[in-house]
Amino acid sequence: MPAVLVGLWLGLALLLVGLSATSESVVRWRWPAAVAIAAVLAAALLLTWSGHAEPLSRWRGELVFDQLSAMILPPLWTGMAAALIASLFMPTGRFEPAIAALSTASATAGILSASPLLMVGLMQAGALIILGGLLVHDEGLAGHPLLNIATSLKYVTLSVVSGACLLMALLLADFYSVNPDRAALTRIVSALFVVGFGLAVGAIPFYFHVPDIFDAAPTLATASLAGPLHCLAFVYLIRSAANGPWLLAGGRISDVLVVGALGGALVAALMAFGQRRLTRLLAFNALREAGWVAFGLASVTRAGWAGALTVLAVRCISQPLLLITAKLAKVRHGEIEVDKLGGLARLLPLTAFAWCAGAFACAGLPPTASFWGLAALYRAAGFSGGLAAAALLASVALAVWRLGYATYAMFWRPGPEPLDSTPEPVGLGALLAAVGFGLAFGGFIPRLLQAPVDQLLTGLPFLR
Amino acid sequence: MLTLAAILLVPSAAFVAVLRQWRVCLASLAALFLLVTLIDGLAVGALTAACQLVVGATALGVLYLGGQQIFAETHEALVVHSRLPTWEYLFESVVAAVGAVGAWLFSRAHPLFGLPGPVTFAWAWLGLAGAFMVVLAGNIVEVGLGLVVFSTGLSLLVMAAAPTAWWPALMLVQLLPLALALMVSLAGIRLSHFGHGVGLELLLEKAPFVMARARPVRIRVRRGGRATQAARRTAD
Repeated sequence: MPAVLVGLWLGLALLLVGLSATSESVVRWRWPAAVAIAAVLAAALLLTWSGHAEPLSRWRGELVFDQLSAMILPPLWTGMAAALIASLFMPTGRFEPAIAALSTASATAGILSASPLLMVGLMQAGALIILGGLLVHDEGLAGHPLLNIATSLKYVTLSVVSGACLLMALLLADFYSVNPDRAALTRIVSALFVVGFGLAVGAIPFYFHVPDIFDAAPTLATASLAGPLHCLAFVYLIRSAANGPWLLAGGRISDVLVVGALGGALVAALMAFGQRRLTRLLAFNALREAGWVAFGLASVTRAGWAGALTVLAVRCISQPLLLITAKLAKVRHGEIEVDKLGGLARLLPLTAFAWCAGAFACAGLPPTASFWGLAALYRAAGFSGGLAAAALLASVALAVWRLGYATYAMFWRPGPEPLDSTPEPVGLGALLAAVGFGLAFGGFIPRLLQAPVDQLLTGLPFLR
Repeated sequence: MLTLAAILLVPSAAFVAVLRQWRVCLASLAALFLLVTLIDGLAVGALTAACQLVVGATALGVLYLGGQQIFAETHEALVVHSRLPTWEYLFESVVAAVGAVGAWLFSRAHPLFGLPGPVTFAWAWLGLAGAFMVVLAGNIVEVGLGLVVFSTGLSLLVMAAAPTAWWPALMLVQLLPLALALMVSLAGIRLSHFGHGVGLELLLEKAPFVMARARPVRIRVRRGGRATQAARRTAD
């Protein structure tokens, strides 16, 4: 079955690559393309929910359908499919849907893979696909080509460094498994892993490229970074830790990672205040969330892993939703600076609802499902001491403040007259609102995510 | 034979970094790919070597077409980097020699993964040479060549250390240099198409926020001015 799932998304990606051959074909064939995306999503969800998921797999050379992939893939597909369909009905670059579908196919293959080498290879492939998005971005290149090219050079260099660190960590971990007397290797592997993984998800202090990509790349390429690629990197971390618990077993390693992740989340939340452009603000919000997930996993506690998995699943939907709604705001005003937006709730009521749902989920506010994830993370922070809990709460408060202000400024504050004052397209607005509704009220059924998380965690005896 | 191939990698990678004419640089890169193919064939297997040959040839083709397009757009002299002062060539040669000695010492001190010494030397040297090329790069072509050399070393390491890994994973790793060559060529063509040349200086100037931390290392050489020469004559 995993091969069928990969095949479905790869087929969709090839279809969209074919459609992007000419600039008119995406517009002309958008309805059949939207139906194809919906059909692939429905088929993939049906297969996932009807299939038997095996316990968290050990490393081996094949595709597997285990509890982790069964939990993470449905939200990832839903978020990306919604973004894909929405992008077909708004002004968008012709390569964007193809890039997003290729990224989703690549992440699907990686998440379903039990081969660590394939996962690292697919992370590199995902980065190169996003890089392609930066380079073939017609709208961006017409606007500020040098920014795109400079960002792409920076990203390609850092992603190669990330891949090199992860591959070295992987080979050294294998080497350590047959030479357990070389105890010093564990620290080297951990250090390489942290640098490689940090660059892959842009965790602070390895975040240099992320805000620039959010700023320069087309919306769906950015969504591919914040959704599928980051999700794949976190799944790689989870599988690596589950296969080699020694990676996080050393108390000091775990402590360093906890401090780094929470400090990173707090710094990202603070840095969001200095951003005037909505895209950069969203970048620092994504970095803060990445810090939360990394903290949960680094805490090596059941509560921490439960919280991290829940937040990870929710952000697969909330990040693409926020990016798409931000793009709609930009289209209306022709500006992306928060202070130059305003009064959009009157024009785009459904989009405003979708943004609010995404912002609530991003900040971990009730009734979204990420609230339960945040509650679990708070319990895990309690294990690490009062300072950790205070840092987590401070990052939450800062996120609520900044996102709350941005929401008010975009939608309710009287602002300049929009360039485009036509009423909101009902279909597009309804799609975004439906996704937002699911995201906002998913928290009323905590068992929706809690049951698969509990099932998954029973197979991980090393968690405290 | 394995040792000879590993030793010959030193001048071939160093020439990629130092030579000015881009076609000669690519010829040196072709020699590097052939040597890596030979090492793959001797240390890993014939199939891996054949794959390396195909990937190397394709990457060369992509870089050649990309370079042709870039230099046709910019109407500049066909050089990867401008003429450097003599002592800077000497400096780069010393860097290459130190890198090669470092890689050799590393292969002697840490024979990781149970690999033969020449193979350890080869991947360590290619990694170091590629990293130096990226750090010292002044334009996109140099960055691209550095990344391709670096990733070739990485690919050699993975092929030699984990030859029994799942074949799709190995294939993906081996395709990495090719994908990088394609992406960097595309970036270079885009940049030159807009009439900006291929130098990183312009990116530093126009996109300072993005490039500030990725500023390449440039060595400024103070030329002896008239006043200095007059002072020298007076001293003589």
